[in-house]
Amino acid sequence: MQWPVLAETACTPSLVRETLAEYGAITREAILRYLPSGAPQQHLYELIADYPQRGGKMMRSSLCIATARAFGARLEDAIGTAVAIELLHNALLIHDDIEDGSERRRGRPTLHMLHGVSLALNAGDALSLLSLRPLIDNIGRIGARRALRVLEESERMAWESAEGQAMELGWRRDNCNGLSDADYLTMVLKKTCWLATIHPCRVGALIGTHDGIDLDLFIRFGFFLGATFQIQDDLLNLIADERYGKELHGDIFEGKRTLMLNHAYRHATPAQRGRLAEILDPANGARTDAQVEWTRDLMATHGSVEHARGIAHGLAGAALHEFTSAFDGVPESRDKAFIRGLVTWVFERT
Amino acid sequence: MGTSERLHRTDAERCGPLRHAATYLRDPPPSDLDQPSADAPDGAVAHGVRLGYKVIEEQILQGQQLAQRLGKATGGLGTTGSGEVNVLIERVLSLYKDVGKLCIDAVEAVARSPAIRSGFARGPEAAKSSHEPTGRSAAREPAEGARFVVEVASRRRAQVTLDLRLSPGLFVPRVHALHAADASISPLTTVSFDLDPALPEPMLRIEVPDTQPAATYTGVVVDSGSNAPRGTVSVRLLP
Repeated sequence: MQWPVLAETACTPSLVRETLAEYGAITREAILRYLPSGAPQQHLYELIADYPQRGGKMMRSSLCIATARAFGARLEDAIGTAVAIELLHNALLIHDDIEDGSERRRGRPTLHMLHGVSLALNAGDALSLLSLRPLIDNIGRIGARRALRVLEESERMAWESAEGQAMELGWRRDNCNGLSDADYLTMVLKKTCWLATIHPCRVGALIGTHDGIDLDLFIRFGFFLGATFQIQDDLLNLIADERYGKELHGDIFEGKRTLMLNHAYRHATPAQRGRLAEILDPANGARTDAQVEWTRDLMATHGSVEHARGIAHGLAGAALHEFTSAFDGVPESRDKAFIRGLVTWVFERT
Repeated sequence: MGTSERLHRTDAERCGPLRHAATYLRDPPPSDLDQPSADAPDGAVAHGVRLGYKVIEEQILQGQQLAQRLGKATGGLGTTGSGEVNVLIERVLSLYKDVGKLCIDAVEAVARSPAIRSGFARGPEAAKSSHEPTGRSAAREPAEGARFVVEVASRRRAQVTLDLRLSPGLFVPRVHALHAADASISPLTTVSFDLDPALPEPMLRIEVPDTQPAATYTGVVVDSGSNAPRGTVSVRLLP
């Protein structure tokens, strides 16, 4: 079936939502089969099952499945890898929430707020381990060679994510200020893009082509899509309503070095810089509502939100451009239209 | 118009050339690329694109350089090493390189599927007769039945993937020509399954002409009786 380009563009919003719902439901059902049911339920397995059952967007797993299918794979060839991606994502969320001191996740209190840091940390570790099982099961699904390649890709993604997380945590601990936009994008490439977009595309293409394609193409597309996603996420943290699921202005409370914060610092007067550095210094303890409000006003004064939004729009354009390269020659299909539609969907989500 | 109302340009900061050696080279653009134009919304868009490409190309270059240092042919491994998994991959690749005629996936595919193993053992009568007297049919002794050979006659390195679906019945496999993604490249036509009873194991033979361009060639394995698809054969010719 041929899919006219204009028709795809017109139906993108609903197509993306429908595909996310469909592939998300399939992945979630497969995840449930991997969740252990024995003891200790109260202190481990109930905790492991919590985040996966809260119903995230399932963008990562859907992107993996769609890419694999766009390249000719069967759904069942990609489902194990999609499950592994979601399990690791949820494991990292548990640890991220602890590291960031976050209070809410997907509209509910974070796991460590509910059960304490110790049990939440342990649940995160266990969920990471659990993400290995579907990768091992891949041997029976897609063969030893492709399974090993997917495992290798997963290992690289995990390293990149850890490096990106270390960059951001290190900036906050050492109170690094005046960071450039390039610094931010490098951090986001590692911390967000590898797990959220680059890796799902790469392993999907690997599975679909039997490792017969240059995977670097998906680094570029995945980076531009993932960075757009992250910047939009940062913007939503400043302006979103209650549907957002996290605490409003939480990034400022946590001292995250977003594009907006870095921009505001660079354009601030010396006096404003001094005060902002003092506010962000972790040695001075938790930030107050008044300090967060002052920081938000500083961003407004210097047009930092508009600056970040402009960059996000530019990156989205680059993502669409790189999409044509990465998926050149791939027959038009619902999956291909879904992947392209994700670029604009990023701006429509709440 | 009075003299006081005349418009005056402000005095220029300098009225002669700068002849200091340090000015021969222009200052590089600030690393941040946070030029004034970036502050306007339209400028931020261009700024984002320019910066994004700068960041990602640097990352890819780092990955390629590391891969080259590790002796990889491609830049896919990126900036972080992957330890033992890479060693395993290297072993698999050296196996292809040194033996040149062995396909790991084919062995593994048959090992996974008792139905397919029995299909190969029992499909053609001759093959059946060659196995049964020894009592080593795949169904009874899976380890022996798992043996399967892929023979590639090629002057260059080739990676062969045989992916057969689990199938309820027995069948005699047949493969059509293998095609590259680029339609202008001539297909690989010298690909066949050899179920000669004289052979100790069923064999997939692939002959690659010396002039065949580097590419990934893929074709469908069918049941020779019904022509129903049963799997794929993929040959990746490395440059």
